[in-house]
Amino acid sequence: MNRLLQLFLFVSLCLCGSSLLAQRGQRAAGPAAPPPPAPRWPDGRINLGADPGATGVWEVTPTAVPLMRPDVAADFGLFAADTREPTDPFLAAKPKLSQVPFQPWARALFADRVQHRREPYTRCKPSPGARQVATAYGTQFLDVPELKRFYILETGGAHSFRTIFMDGRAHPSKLSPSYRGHSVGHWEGDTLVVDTVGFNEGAWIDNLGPPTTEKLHMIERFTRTDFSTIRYEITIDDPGAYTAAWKSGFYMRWVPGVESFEFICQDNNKASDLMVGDGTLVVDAPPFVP
Amino acid sequence: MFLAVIMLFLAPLAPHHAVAAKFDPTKVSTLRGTVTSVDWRNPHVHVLMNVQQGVRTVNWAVELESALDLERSGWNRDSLKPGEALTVQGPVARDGSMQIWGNSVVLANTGQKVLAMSAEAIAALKPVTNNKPAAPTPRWPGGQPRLGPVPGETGYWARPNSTMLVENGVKVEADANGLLKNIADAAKVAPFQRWARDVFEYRQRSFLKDDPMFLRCLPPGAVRQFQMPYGNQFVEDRTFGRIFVMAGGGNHDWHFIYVDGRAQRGDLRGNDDNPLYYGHARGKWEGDTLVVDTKGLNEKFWFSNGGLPHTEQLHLVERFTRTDMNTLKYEVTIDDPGAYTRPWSASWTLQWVAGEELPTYYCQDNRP
Repeated sequence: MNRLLQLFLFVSLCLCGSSLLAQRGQRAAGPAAPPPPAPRWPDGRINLGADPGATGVWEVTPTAVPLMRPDVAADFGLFAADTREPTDPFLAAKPKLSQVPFQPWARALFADRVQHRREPYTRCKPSPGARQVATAYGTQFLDVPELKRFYILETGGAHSFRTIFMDGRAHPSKLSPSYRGHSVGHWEGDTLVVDTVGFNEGAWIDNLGPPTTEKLHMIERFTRTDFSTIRYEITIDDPGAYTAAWKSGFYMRWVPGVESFEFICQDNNKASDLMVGDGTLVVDAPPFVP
Repeated sequence: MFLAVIMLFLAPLAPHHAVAAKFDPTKVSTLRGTVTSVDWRNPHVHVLMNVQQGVRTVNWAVELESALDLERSGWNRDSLKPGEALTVQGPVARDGSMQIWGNSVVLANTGQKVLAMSAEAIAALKPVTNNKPAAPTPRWPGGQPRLGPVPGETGYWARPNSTMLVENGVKVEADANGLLKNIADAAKVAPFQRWARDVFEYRQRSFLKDDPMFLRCLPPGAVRQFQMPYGNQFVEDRTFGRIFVMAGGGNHDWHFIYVDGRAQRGDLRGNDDNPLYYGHARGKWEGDTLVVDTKGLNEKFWFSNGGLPHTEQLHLVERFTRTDMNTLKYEVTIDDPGAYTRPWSASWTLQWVAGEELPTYYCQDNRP
């Protein structure tokens, strides 16, 4: 089979799995009854996970993942684009593509990425920021106040994790650039605020790939507004790629009764030739197996 | 001198693959060239350089240790710049491609050796001998041993004192990748069935070149995860009856050991049709020991350095005992009637790396 078609199918499978789970969650929540309030720990802090004894994961509808809205459907190339104007003011505040303050090179690279669709995620790379919390098969939060740490774990994608230091420490002055950077967090009322720096340039912050540089400073805000919903807000402050800081966000939906499972991207990946490079694809692959 | 050089790469520290899996220690070459680029990524840093060979200019890839190990040695991606002239010595690739293992990388104009691992970085991967008595085992308020740090501190488990599965009581020598010093020892390592011994010997004789962790960045999987140089961290999520096991190296992935009393059966997507790399791990505490029963493993990974085979019938019982602050005793019983003639056991210890964060290493980094 054509390799690009294989890759496309793989991506589609990931997205379909994700959307099926999301639909199940919506049904479970019921269309009419408002969801119960966000659960809290005995000390009053918001619980971003399941109630003790229960299970569940957070899902994001695939078309909600891009951090910008299309002005016209063609803006997103092959990617399913939702051009309807949202009635929800939070979603309506998501910038349209024309409103994202790209520097010219970043706009050109973004257009190329939309056209060619080679998201690192599909080749098992760990994704940062919005893409990590919107991975297929759901996201979990692990709150460990005793160790003053918070973990974000994704089931799909790279099946990896991010550590958020909650002990008030600063970012190290010297950081080796990495996919997920260095995250510190704190609570502002009922909102978990996560501040991250130290990114490399190889990671895409969403599934379309608005370019970012090592200057990226990302602020994420997680607010569980009711039992079934997290409002995820992200600020992208990257003077290397944008002329101004910009904001976006989406809703994460609770899917109750679901547990994470072992997902090995390298095993299930239908694009293994992209993983190791067989020399026939036009990718920036080294001509050897490292 | 020549022998000493060979010994150096037969006893490599490479966390990703045995050097001899890819490079031929009997074909050592010296190349002089000019740096064209530096690819500073795990699992191996590569320096690309142009070498004048007759009338042709050939671009060679010089393979080095991991970015993580080189950073621990004080180097970074700017340590070498395009245009600098180098002399590189090391074994060349077995497949004839333009690749050389950088046993020594020397700046031509100053004679300075660069991008080598420091003594400290090498020592960081090995068990530390310390005669001072360790602090006692840290415990939860109820008295159960803690597998992680105490509040206010940090650390992780690494530095295994054995990096290959060898049956308890058997004495064989192997390097960090599980390559036997003496291939005649192969049959002693475990009570292999005949086919399994032949597979093991084949993998050894081919310098572990077919290792799925090397070829495709597949996870180390059950048992082998505790032989890895970049260690593991346990976070006991007692509210939900599960232990979160995080890998520093490999794919920097995670899995849960469930200690909530659930039955040993398939999870969602981990059933008989879809056996796993880490399996279904079910734990319970017996006194001060966490006993973990694991089934549901696939055959697509090597469950030990050195390439011991196993089948989907593999059933593991692992025992974790934190005997003091700094020591985690790991004992495993291997029951696999598909590959071994009887159940057998192996054990080693892991050391607590106090005050340090779990490394962040992604095998898949240096992939297109």
